[in-house]
Amino acid sequence: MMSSLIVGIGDCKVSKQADDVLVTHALGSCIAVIIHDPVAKVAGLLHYMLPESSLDAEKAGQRPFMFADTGIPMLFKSAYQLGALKSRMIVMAAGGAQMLDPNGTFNIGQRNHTAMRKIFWKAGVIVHKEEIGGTSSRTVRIDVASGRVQLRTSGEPEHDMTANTKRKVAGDGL
Amino acid sequence: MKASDFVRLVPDCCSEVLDAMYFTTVNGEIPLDWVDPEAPVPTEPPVSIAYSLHFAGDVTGHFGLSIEQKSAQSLAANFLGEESDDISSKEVHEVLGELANMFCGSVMSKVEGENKFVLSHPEEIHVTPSASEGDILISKLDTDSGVITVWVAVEGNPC
Amino acid sequence: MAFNILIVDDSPAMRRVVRRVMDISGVDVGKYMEAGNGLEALVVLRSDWVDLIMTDINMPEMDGEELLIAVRADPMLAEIPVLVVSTDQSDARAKQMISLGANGYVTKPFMPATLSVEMNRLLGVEGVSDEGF
Repeated sequence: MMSSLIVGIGDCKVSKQADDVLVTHALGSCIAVIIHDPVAKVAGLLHYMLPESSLDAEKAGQRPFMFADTGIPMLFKSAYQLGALKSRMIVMAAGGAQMLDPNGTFNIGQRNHTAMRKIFWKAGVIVHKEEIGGTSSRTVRIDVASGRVQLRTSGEPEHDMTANTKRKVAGDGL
Repeated sequence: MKASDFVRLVPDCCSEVLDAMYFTTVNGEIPLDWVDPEAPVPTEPPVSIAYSLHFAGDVTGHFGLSIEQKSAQSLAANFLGEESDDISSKEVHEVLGELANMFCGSVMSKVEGENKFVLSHPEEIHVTPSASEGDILISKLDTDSGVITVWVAVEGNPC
Repeated sequence: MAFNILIVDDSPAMRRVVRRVMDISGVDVGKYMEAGNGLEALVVLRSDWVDLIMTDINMPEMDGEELLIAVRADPMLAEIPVLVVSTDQSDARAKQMISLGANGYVTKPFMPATLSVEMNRLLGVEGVSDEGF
């Protein structure tokens, strides 16, 4: 029986239960990083809010998934603990919309995206598919068994944003 | 075409390049004579590195950039995907040369449209141009990796 | 199957970035060769087997356009796939290079995934696609 695991804002979940679906809502300027190992059938979903933990070191210690630079490595490490391998990982991302944030600035979404790309470049990870930007909120979910990813942007029908890979990707780092 | 016609193109194109491959956000332009009031007074003048290249198409001239050593180190680390401490001076210079090349190429692509343009190999320079030298636009960009000064000097136009 | 890759660009930093993209794409590379301009590239091409040429356009001595023309004119080299990686973002330039025989055209600045997809395509390697199930 399908089990929906909700990933909240500043949260992260990994699973290798075949009937699990990881889902996160209200992706405005936040970014969801979605990973899937199609061999180990492990999936992970991180919903982070801010680019850098140095902005609030104390909060980063308590809530590491709030930030790209602490959350993304932990997402991958959690997946490795369930048997995922970096060389097989399919990586997708969604969110980073341009929205008015509490500080009154517009570009947190873009900064979140830049931070994510920098982390992945340094770690030697290719992002296979992403839907970033715009001005609307998004919801994204991944089926753990199949790795199928569905995305809904506010005001539009849901669509499949899965990246398909038939080849292993090598690398080290994360 | 005059240098002043580049006034929007330069920050927009530089922003695109810096975000895409140097993972650095441009926060805006600052006045040429601006000094950070909160920065400690340096005991020695900061070391800057500058690169310039020649462009030729329907518009011809020189393009250049100047950046402090520490900021250059950070940009180079981002570009190469390495830690800042692991980047050598040679690597910093190579990365800055490519940055000047990409800045200029991006600007020229927008200016020349479907016309061909040729860029020279970027070279380090030790004297940067001033605002009074010919038809020139100088922009100072405030970025997450520090201040980058960029200039476009157009040839063939009277001062 | 290990591929021999030739990267042609007068920027050592860009050659390093292109090489890094190839490494993290998981391509099985037998040998990387580098050249700073078209003339150096031809020396490499006439002495070593190459499976893919990735070349800039604006380079001293011999530019990417001249290199492409020379490669396509040489029966020993004519079949080698050529991917152009250039700061020139105009459609006209891309079309011109394709008409001269380039097999792909990526503009700088680029996202690693964009270059990775093109590399894999020209090497005929099954890679990541953005098509769903």
